[in-house]
This record gives sequence, C-alpha cells and structure tokens, in this order.
Amino acid sequence: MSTPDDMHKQAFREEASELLSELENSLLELEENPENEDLIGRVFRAMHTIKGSGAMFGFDEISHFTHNVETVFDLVRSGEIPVTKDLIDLTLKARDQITTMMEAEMGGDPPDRELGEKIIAGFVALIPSNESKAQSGPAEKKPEPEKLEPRTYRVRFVPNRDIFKSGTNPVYLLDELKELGDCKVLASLKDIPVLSQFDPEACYTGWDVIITTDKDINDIKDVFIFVEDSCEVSVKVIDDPVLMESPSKYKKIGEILVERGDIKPETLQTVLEEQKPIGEMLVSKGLVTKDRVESALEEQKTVKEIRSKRQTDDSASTVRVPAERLDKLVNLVGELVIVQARLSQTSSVKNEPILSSIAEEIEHLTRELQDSTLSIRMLPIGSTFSRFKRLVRDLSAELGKDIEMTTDGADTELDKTVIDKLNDPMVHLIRNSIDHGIEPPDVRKAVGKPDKGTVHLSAAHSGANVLITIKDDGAGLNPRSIKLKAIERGLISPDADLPEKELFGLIFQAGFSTAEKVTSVSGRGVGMDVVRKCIDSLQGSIDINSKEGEGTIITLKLPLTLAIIEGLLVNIGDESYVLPLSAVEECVELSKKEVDAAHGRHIINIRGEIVPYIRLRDLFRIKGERKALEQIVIARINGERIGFVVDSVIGQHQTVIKNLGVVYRKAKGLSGATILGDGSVALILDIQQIVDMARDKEVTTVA
Amino acid sequence: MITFNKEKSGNSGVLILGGEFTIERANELKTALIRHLDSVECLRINLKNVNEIDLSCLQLLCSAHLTALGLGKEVVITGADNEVFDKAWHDAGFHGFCCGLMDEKATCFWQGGEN
Repeated sequence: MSTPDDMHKQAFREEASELLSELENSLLELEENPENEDLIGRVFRAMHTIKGSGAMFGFDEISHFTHNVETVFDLVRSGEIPVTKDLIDLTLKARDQITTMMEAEMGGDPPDRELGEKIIAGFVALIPSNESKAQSGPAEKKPEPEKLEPRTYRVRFVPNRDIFKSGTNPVYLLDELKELGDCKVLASLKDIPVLSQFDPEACYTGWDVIITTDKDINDIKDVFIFVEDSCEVSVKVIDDPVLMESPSKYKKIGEILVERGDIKPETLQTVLEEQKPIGEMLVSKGLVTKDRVESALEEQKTVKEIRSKRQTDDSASTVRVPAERLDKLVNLVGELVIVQARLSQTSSVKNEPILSSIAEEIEHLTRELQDSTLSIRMLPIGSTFSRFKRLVRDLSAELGKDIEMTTDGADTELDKTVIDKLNDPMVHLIRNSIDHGIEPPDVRKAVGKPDKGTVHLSAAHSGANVLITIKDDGAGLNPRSIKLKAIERGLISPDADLPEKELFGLIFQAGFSTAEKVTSVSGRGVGMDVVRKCIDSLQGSIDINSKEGEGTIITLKLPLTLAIIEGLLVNIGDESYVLPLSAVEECVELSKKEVDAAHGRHIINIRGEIVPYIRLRDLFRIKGERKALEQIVIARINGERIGFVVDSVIGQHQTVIKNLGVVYRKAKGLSGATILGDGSVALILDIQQIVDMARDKEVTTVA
Repeated sequence: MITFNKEKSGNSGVLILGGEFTIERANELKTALIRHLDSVECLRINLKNVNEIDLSCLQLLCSAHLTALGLGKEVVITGADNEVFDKAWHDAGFHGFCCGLMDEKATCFWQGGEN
C-alpha cells in the first residue's frame, strides 16, 4: 500500500513532468520571441515550482540543480541577462537533465553527473558577479512588464487531515501565497475537537484567504499544485475591476455564505424574514459558526474596499483523475453497452410493450453515458504537436537545415490511448520529412525555394475519424527510385506497372529505404514499417500524396477512440464478424454468375470499376457450402477499394472492443472480439492485415 | 521543557512551556494539557519561553480551550507577546477570531491572560 508520502512524491513527479513539458514549449517559443515577458515569466515559474516542490518532497538533487537555472531566469526577468540562443540551448539541456534526474528517481538510468556540472557551470557563468556589476555600472533595465489589473480572489484551502504525515506544512503554502499579493488569511478552527479526541498528528485547520494580486489565477493554483489531489482547494475571482459595475456594492453576507456552501438558500430565506443582521441570526441559531461569518465579513469588507464586482471563474472547477480510473469507467460502460444490447434483443423477442419501452430508455441513456464517458478521455492533440517542435529544432540544427514547424488544429481532440500511441509514428514521419524531404538551404535556393523549409502538422475531424497530416515543402518522393528499390528488394516484378499511389505505399514495407546513405536520423528502412504497424494497430490508415520537387503530404486517418467503435456485423456460416464501419463504403451482391464470369479471378465489376475481393470463408477456412448469392463489403484501405465476401450482412453494430488475450495475441487479421446481444462472440476483423495476408498468399502462390 | 506549578489554592496552576513545540512534541503537549487541565479549574499556559511553535501545537492550545469550556473550566494564555508565538499565530491566520465552536460569551482564548 502506498503511503501518503509516496502519493505526494508521485504527485510531484506527475506535475513536474507536465511542467517540464510546458517548459520545453515555452523555451522554444521564447527563442522565437526573446522579448516576451510572459514567456520569460513562465520559464521562471516552472523552474521556481520544480525547485520549491522538489525540496519539499525530498528531491534535493533536482532542487539544487534547478536553483541556478531559476537564478538566471530571475535575472532575465529583471532585464539583466538577455535571452540568447545560447541561453535557450543551455536551458533546454538543463530541462533534459532534470527529466533524466526524475527518471532516475523512478528507477531509470542515473543522470550524467559530469554533464550536469557542465550545465550548472554554464548557468553560473551567466550570473554577473558583483564586481563586474560595479565596473559596468547599473545594468540598463528593461521597462517593467505591463502588469495585470489587480483582482481579488477567494481561496478556500482545507488540507487533508493527514497532511502533516506527508511532511507538508500548510502554513508554508500560505506563506507562498502571501508572496503573490496582499493576503488576508482567515483560519477556520471549527473542526478542532476536544483534547480527548485530538490526534496530535492531524490537521484540523482550514483557511479562507482573500488575496488581491496582479497575478493570474493559475499562479495561485500553482501554490497548491502538489497537494490539490488530496486537499480541498478552490480559487474564485471575487473581484475583477474590468467587470466593475457598481464600485461600492458587493454581495450581502447571506449571499456570500450561500455561495460558499456554508448555508443553504432556504435557510437564508427563513432567517431573513426575522430582519436582524444576518450573520448574528445565523450564529445565534447555530446554523453557521462565528468564524465562518467573520470570514465572510472580512471578504465583504475587502471587496468593498477595493470597489469591485465578483466574477466567477469556471477554470477552477477541474478535477485531476488518474487515467486508470477513467479506463475502468470506460470498461464498465463497455460492459453496460453489451448488457443493453442483450436487453434490447430480449425485448424484441418478447415483444412486450412495457419491456420494449424500458429497453429503449436504457438504450438512450447508455448511448448518452457512453458519449459522455468517452469524451472525458478526449485530449487535444496540441500537446503532442508541441512536443515535436523540439525534435524539428534539434534535427534541423544537426543536419544543417533551416526548418520551421507550423501547426493547425491543435485543439482537435482524440482519445488519450490513441494520442499516447501516436507519438512514435509521428516522430518517424517528421524525421523522414526533415532528413529525406526537405533539402539543404543551398539546394533549395538553387531550385528557387525559400531557404527555410516548412513542416506543417495539422489535425481535423472527419466523421468518426481524425485526419492528421504531415506536410513538407521538400523534394517530394521520387517514383522512379522507389520502383528501382522495390524491384531490387524483390517487392515487385520489373515489368510491374503500378500506379503512383501504390508505389508510394511501398515505402511502408519492411526494410524499404531509398535514402542513399544511412544517417543517425533515418534511412535504415525501419521507421516507415513501424509507422504502418502502429497506425494499423490503431485501426487507422495512411495516405501519401507527393509531387516531385514540391513536397509530400502524409495523411493519417485515425479513429476517435479505441474503446467502442461502430462496426458492420456480418455472418459467414454460423460465425459472426465485425468490420470497422469507418472503412466500409458500400455493400453489393455477388452472384454465382459474376463469379463464373471472372474465370477464377477474385474481381468484380462495380459500375465499371474493377474491384478485387477476398473471400473470408476461404481465408478463415470456414466449413460449409457457399451461398448462391453472397455479399461483398467494399472497404477503402490506403486509397484502394477492396471487397470482403461474406454470407450475409446483418447491419450496423455498436462494438465494444475486447482484447483477444495472450494466446491469440499474434492471430493475424483480427483486432479483437466483441460480445453480441445473444451472448455469442464476434471477432473484429483487421482488414488491413487481411489484405496483407491475401497479398502474401498470392505472392507465395505465384512464386 | 514542560513545567507545571500548582497554586496554593489548588484551583489554578501554570503550565510553562519552554523550547520548541513542533509536531514531534505534540503528543507530549497533549498529554500534559489533559493531565493538568484535569487537576485545576483555571489553567494558565505560559508561552514566554517558547522558541518555536507550529500549527500542530497551536491547534492543541485551541483544543485545550475548547475542552475547558466544555468542562466549565478556564484556560488562559500568558506570555503571548513572545515574538515567535505572535508570528506563528499570525502566519497561521488565527488572527482576528477564535475557535468558532467556542461559546461566544467566553473570552477569546487569544485575547485573555496576562504576561
């Protein structure tokens, strides 16, 4: 069982990891806007928080290391040290070193101490000594950054009763808060018990803090960043001069108490009828404690003094929840969807109006619950995009190229699981764009392109999918060299006449690389193969468009979520299968006459277009006779239309994906299974893999 | 160090606290408060020689006051002008009002007493 100390350390690790990620983005932005005071402030605060909280939770080495970086950025804030490329480089190295130190704390490789010392020495050298200060006279100060209008916030902080046991002193957090602005700290002692019931190691005190500051709400929340999971912390704007209406008016005591949740509105109404000072009446009736009223009075007084109007701020109403709890919730909803399907099926068999009505209602509610639950796991892809900024920066520097990364659609949301798995394939694709795609500046100049190359990442919703594109303005793919390499590798025959799209698709084959030399960045032919496998495992597809000399656009089509998909339920013999509906374009009949007309070739003419098909009955060796009239489900895979022959198409089916388990993990052509309304199991088909299997079989047969 | 001197009348006594009163000593303080509050009608707690006091012990003093009120007894603080104590209770936000649970007619714990 984890102790409170472990939990707080874990909270620190999680938060520090987020801070480090933000830090990297801020530094990369700062490199482009070195004068931006806000960015400088963000870097400083990240370092300040890592240092302070690191020390609080026993990460002394990290705290010590960060100290010098913080010092330098404090000087940057005051205008004594300018932001230079060298400073950004050094700070990025420091950020990486802190990351390594964090990983080492979690059992990873120990950090390179020599490197750490070099980085620290680099920062120390940047700090101007008193002597040099004296010689050079007072540094030319930058103008003070434009400050925000001071706002007044109400902070309610009720620590967890065990907070002392984790080594945290809540008073230190109040001290930190006081550094942000003018504070009125009002302790609430109502929970303190008599001595006989008093636990000397428990914290019974809570606080209301009225703080007036020019700092942002997030700066206030940052103070509690490492205890917010275990304590009650709420921050609300109670005064905003920008929204000021009537300077001298502020809420009445009763309103404040109701808003804080200290009394119910009905209670207020009843007591108000007695027409006495509300605080006095509430206390005399024992409905609220005196300290609560005094605290509310203090707030009223403070806000009246600064003449403002309260403004609620909904950004404070967020809850941090561990990902595994969400996974569990999604699993439970999945189970509910299965049970609901059984209920719907039973009700349709029984044909009882009352049961049908209940089943319909449950179906409606389940659908809403499912949508809400899945939406909780949705995250904007922007955080993944911004991670690549560093990659582009470092790689282009390494290869002597000048490349800018731009993004679009960073707000597009995707399931967390999909986002997590998307990182590696995206890294490979971007690396390839930078290494093989974008030309060195002299070559670009010679062909009339701007020196600076561009890698553009974008994301957009498209039905139940998200389209992610990686576009570069580099040299584009060369179909001739791809063809030559494919012939050399025996992937195609020398006389094969493949359309351009299919040729481009070959770059995702294992061991394929047209790079003339292998670099540390790419060119081993491993990356693109991995990319396809990864995207396949995500039930996605890849599309390539490229024009020689102009650039390449790679589009990844990914499902919004991997937990529940819309499927097409089909039957072959007594077996049921599910195909991902997102890939399905249409269903057509396949008569015996059409089969005979093709003379043994697995192709069909659909409105003048020749479409190849795969007979799933043969592929899965399902016993029994073929039907005289079969059905073909036509799907689009990597831009090609391919048919899958089944006995009958049942229809659309909401599919809760279940893993196949360890034994069947390597089974090809299957991506999982689902449970149908009658309790039977239907296998979910991985149509991309099925096409590969059929292709391999064809190659083997021909060979 | 915790010293207790009972006055001749037997109705009151002085609990003199000396040194650092942080969470490590909270249990010791609790035991002393229970024992000595039990033996007198009015307990004076002298904080003059306190070098350090943290939230855990400040809460205990409040709890002693609350307990005394429940028993119809009195707890009075003395030596509250001690800078260390003064800073600790201001920093903890105890300034301005007393324990909300306490009888409002009672003298506020922090305002009572003498030096």
